[in-house]
Amino acid sequence: MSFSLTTSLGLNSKYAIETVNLTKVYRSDSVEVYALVDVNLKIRYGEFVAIVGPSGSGKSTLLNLLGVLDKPTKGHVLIEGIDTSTMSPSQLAKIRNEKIGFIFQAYNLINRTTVLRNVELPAVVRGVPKKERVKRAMELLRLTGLDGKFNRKPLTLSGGEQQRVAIARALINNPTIILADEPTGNLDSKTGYEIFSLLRRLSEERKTTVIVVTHNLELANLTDRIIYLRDGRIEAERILRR
Amino acid sequence: MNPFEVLRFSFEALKDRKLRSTLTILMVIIGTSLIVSLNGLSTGFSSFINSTFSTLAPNTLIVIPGGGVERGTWTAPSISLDSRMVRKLTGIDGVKVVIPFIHRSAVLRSGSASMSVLVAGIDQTKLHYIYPTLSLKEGKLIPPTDFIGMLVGSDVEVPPGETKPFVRLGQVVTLEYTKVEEVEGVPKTVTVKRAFVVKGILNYIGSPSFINVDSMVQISLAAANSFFGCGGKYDGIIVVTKSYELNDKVEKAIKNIYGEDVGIISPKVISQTVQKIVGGWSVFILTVAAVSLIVAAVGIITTLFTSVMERTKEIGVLKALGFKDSQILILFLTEAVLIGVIGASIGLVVGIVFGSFGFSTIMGFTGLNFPITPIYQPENLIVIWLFTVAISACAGLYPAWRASKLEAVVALRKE
Repeated sequence: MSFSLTTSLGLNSKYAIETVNLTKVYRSDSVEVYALVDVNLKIRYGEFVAIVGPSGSGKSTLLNLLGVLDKPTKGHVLIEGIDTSTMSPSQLAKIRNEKIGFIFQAYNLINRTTVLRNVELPAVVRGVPKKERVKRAMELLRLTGLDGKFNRKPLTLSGGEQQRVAIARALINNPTIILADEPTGNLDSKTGYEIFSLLRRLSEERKTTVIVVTHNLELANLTDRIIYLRDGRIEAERILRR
Repeated sequence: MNPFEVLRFSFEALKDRKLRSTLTILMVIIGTSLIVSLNGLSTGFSSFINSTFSTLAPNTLIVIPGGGVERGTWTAPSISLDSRMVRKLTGIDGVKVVIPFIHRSAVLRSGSASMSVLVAGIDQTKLHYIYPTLSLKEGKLIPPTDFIGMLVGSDVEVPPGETKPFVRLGQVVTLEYTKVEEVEGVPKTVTVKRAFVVKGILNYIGSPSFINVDSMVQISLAAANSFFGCGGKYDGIIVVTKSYELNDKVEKAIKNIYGEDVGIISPKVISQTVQKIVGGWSVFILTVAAVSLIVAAVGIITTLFTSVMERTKEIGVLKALGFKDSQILILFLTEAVLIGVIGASIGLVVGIVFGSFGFSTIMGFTGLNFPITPIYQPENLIVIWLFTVAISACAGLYPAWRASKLEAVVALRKE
C-alpha cells in the first residue's frame, strides 16, 4: 500500500476521515486476536456511511479507532487530513471535543443533571461562554424535537428522546464527524427509523459526516454507503447515493 | 473548563451520592471539631495557668520543712521553721522580706451552715509582696496583733454556684478543727472551736490552686499560732527576693544553710513545669485528634474510590466528549477538596460550639468547678482548616489519578 503523506495530510484534505492500513490486535497472554486488519477507508465530508457486519467483525473497534478513543496497533487515522497517530492524549482529547461527536447505543447521558446541561457539556470543556452555549444547546434541542424538555432529567424521557438528547450533545461543538455506535439498538423500529431520519437530515443540512455502526440493514439502506466488515476486514462496499 | 464549572460538576456528583457524601463529610467534621475544641481547651488551659500564676509575685520562694516519703518510708521533718529561721533568712543577701505562715484545714461555721476552708495565719500587712494584685472588696486587713479578726476570700464570701453570701462583713463565725491528743496515755479526738469576726473581704484574684487565696480565710499569724497550738512553729516561710533574677542565688544560699532539711518551691518554676506538662499533654491529645482526621481521610479515599468504580462508564463518556486526563483528575480532586472544605468549615463551628458549651456542660454534670474558658486563636483555626483541606486533597489524589488514567474504550465497555 502506498501512503502519500503529501496528498493525505493537511487541512485541505477532501476526506473528513481516512484510514491507512488500520490494524488492531488484542493480545492476551500469548494469544493474539486480529480485530481489524489493514482497513483502508476514505469518507468524504457530509457523507452518511453505515458499517455493518456480524458480531465480532470489528465494527465497534473500527468506530473506536475512528473516534481516536483507542490507538491502532498499526496504521493511521487521519481526521480532516491530520494524522492522529503521533498525537498526545491531550491533543486527541481536543480532537474528540472539537471534531467528533459520539452517539452510543445506551445513550450514555449523565442522569443526575438536566437535559440542557448534558447537551452543554462538550461546549463547557471547549470553553464556550455560558450564554452562547446555552443558546446553542436550546437550538439543537429544538432541532431534535425536544423543545420544552430542557430542564427534565434524562431518566424521565423515553428511549427515543434520550437518544435525541445524545444527538444534540454530539452536535453542540459543530463537529465534522458524528460517530454512532448502534444508535437504534435500544429503540423500537419506528423510533429507530425516526432517529436515522434525523441523522440523515443532519448529514444533508449541516454537511456533517455521519458514520453509523448498525445491525439493521433496512436502516443502513437510508445511508449513502454501506461498508460490510467481516473478520476485521472490509468485505464489500455498496454505494447507495452519490 | 473554568473553575466555576469544575466546582459545579463536582458538587453535582457529590449531591448525587448524598448519603455517602454526607457520612464522609461527617467524618471530617468529627475530626476537625475534635482538633478545634481540644486546641481551644488546651490554649485556654495554658492561659488559665499563666493568669493564675501571674497573680503571684515572681520573686517569691516558699520554704517548707524537708522530709516526706523517701524510698517508701516516711521521714519526719528534721528542722522546725521558727522565728530564728526567719531572722536567718532575712539576713541572706538579696532577700527583701520574709513572711512566715501557718496553713491548716478547718471547718467554718456561719449560722447553721458550714464549709471546709483552708486557714492561713499570716502577717497581712505583707500580703501585697506575695499577691501584687490583691485588693479589698470590703473592710480591712487584719493587723498582726488582732486575735479575732478574719479576712475571707471571695469564694468564701459567696461560694461558687451560689448566689447568697455565706458570710458578711461584721458577722461572727466559728472556726473549728479536730486534733488527736493523748489524755493519760490514751489518744482522744478533741475539737477546738473559736469565734472570729469577719473584718475584711477580698476581691476575686484567681490564684493558683495550691495557695488559693479566693477560697481561704486568713487570720493573724499570732491567732493561728494560738488556735492551732503550733508553739511558735510555722508551716512555711515565704521568702520575697529583691528581684526575680536573684531567686536562684537566694535559693542556693538557703540550701547552703539548711541543705535537705528544707524544701524550696518557686511558683515561677512550678508555672513553667506545669506549662511544659500541659504543652506535652496538648500535643498528645492533638495527635489523637489528628488520628480521627486520618480516619476521615481514609473515608474520603473509600468514598471517591467507590465513586470512581461506579462512574467508570461516565468517565469513559467524559473522555469521549473531550475531557482531558488532567480535567478528569481535577474533577475528582475537587470532590475531595469540597468534602474537606465543607467538613472543615462545619467542623470549625461545631468544635467551637462544643469546646465552649459542651465542656462546661460536662463539667456541670460532673460537679467539678474548673474555670477554663477555651481560647480559639484565629491563626490556629486557619491552620486547622488548611490542614483538613490539605489532608482531604491528599486523600483524593489516588482515586482521582486512577480515574484520570482509565482508558476511554475500557471505561465505555463497563456496564
